[in-house]
Amino acid sequence: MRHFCNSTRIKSALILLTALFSLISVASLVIKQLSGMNIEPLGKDTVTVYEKRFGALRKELPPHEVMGYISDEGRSMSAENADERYTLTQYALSPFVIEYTTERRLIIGNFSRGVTGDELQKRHHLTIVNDFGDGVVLLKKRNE
Amino acid sequence: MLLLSLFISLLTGFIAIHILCPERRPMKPLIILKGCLAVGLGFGISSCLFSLWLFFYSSSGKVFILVDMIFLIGLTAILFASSSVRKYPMHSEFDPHIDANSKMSRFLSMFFYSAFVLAVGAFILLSLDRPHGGWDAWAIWNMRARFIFRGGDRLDEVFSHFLAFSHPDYPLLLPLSVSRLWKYMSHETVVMPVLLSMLFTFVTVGLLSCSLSLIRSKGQGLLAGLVLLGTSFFIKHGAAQYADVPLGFFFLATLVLFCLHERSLSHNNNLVSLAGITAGLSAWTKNEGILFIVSILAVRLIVIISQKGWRAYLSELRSFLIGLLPVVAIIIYFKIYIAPPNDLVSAQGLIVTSEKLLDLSRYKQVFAAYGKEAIRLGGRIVNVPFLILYLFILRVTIDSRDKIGIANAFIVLCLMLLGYFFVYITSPLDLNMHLSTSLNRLFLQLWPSLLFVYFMVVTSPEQMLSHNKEQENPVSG
Repeated sequence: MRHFCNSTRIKSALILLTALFSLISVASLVIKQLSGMNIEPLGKDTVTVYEKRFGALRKELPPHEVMGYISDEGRSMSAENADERYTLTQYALSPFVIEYTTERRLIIGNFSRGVTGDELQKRHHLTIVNDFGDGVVLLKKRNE
Repeated sequence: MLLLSLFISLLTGFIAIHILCPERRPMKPLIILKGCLAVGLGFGISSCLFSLWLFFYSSSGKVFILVDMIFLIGLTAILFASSSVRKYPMHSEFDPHIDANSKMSRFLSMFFYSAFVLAVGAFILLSLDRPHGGWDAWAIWNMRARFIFRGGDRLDEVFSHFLAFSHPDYPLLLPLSVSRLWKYMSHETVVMPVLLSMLFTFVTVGLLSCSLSLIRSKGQGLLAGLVLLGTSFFIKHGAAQYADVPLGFFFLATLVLFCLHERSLSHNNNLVSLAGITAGLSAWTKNEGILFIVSILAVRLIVIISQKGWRAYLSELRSFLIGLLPVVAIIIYFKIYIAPPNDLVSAQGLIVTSEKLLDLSRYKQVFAAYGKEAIRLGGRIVNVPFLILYLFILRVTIDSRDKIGIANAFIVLCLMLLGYFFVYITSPLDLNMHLSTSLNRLFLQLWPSLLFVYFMVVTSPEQMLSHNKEQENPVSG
């Protein structure tokens, strides 16, 4: 064993193998990325597409007001997905501050399916201020 | 404007380094090393300047560009006026490279440059796939950059308690660097955070490789760079625009600068001052940097007093603090007056923390996670078990001039691991979730520095070949 470890050839081979394996590791990362073919054309990635839905809404929001947030989580998505959608909404609408609550004057609705105004009004006492399409709505707390 | 913003940052970094460490006879690895340090230092200093502008004046307008320019002109004037260029050239004890052009060295160069090009390609492909980066990038760093860029004077909203999920207490080096670049360009683009992450990822490789090329040998530097490039998680994480890669850069830079200081023949502590700046910038990047600064201060106290005595320690401490304190002052101001309390700290109570400290099952759980993660570190093949085998076969060769530098780096890294360990033990979060979502990133922060220490002790390819020649021709030696 000692003789084996002392052999220069073994040591040289080990050094070159270390270099080769490292190179293969980088190459496999490139190949994996290329073969996955999940490279979207510029501007078509998930986050960019998601935040484009909020472009028109962002122009309508009043400055310096914390707004609420409502989504259809629990019905069509997991809590994790709902959290991700909320965080992405906050990212898209920065610098407006969005709180995950319906206890605000204005509430941002982010729905994956068509919104039925009646259902919302009943459940959360909300009325639609503006429907921006694609599941994005601005809602208002209805006076009791 | 993109080029101007980059040029100002990089030149600021380079001049700052050159003021502290002038070099009369620049060697190629030293120039590259300075260039790598300049990237981190430049963006760090620029973000500190921008933070002062933001905290005390206004985030709107472009007057801060004038401040950047004035600071750069001031630095340039100091550079020309500085007598240190004549008095204290950075004259370090670096050996002429043995067999630097051997066949082995040429092979390693070929492998390294191929891997570097491929890694840049992989980074670009990953960034095209996710230009906004991973979760932390858009939920924390880039979101904060957007708040600063889009919000104008509404700075308080950036740190609103409604945004607790995005950890508003996290330091601002990355968000400020991104928003500063956007302000120069007057528009928001995903290219900036991608470019910033790319620079930090690859200058980390450059810094690791050049520092080892300079201190050990060219082959050793190339090999270390290759192992880091072969760590897919490092490249993926860099492309995900997380702060762990820039943080890892500042950890590595600090430890490298201390090692270079030990090799320095100049009787000054300029490299220690530079290490103070990089250590400060680590805490300006992520909260883990605070633990790093404490570890550095503790280890230098023990190592330097035992090796060189109190006087040397106090002199070194003064130089370290000269670099560290300006950055730390900004961090303290940010933590006291702007940021909300840290979620991990504020959720702690003395009784609950004591109970967690006495709970042995938590120790077992964290130990197990540490072991599992340690084995996974590195590439698919060139991982920790592989590197242990490599060390066993190649053996250890430590230059007596590097003993203090290596001991310093090694103990600092051990303290960091210990510190992280107790953060988990006392964590108010669900331990399993906390470990599974963060431990791999904490290890990644330390990975470039661990590789640096590893390749500082393991026999270099050139040393291995020269030992062999000596054994084959004992008379000719």
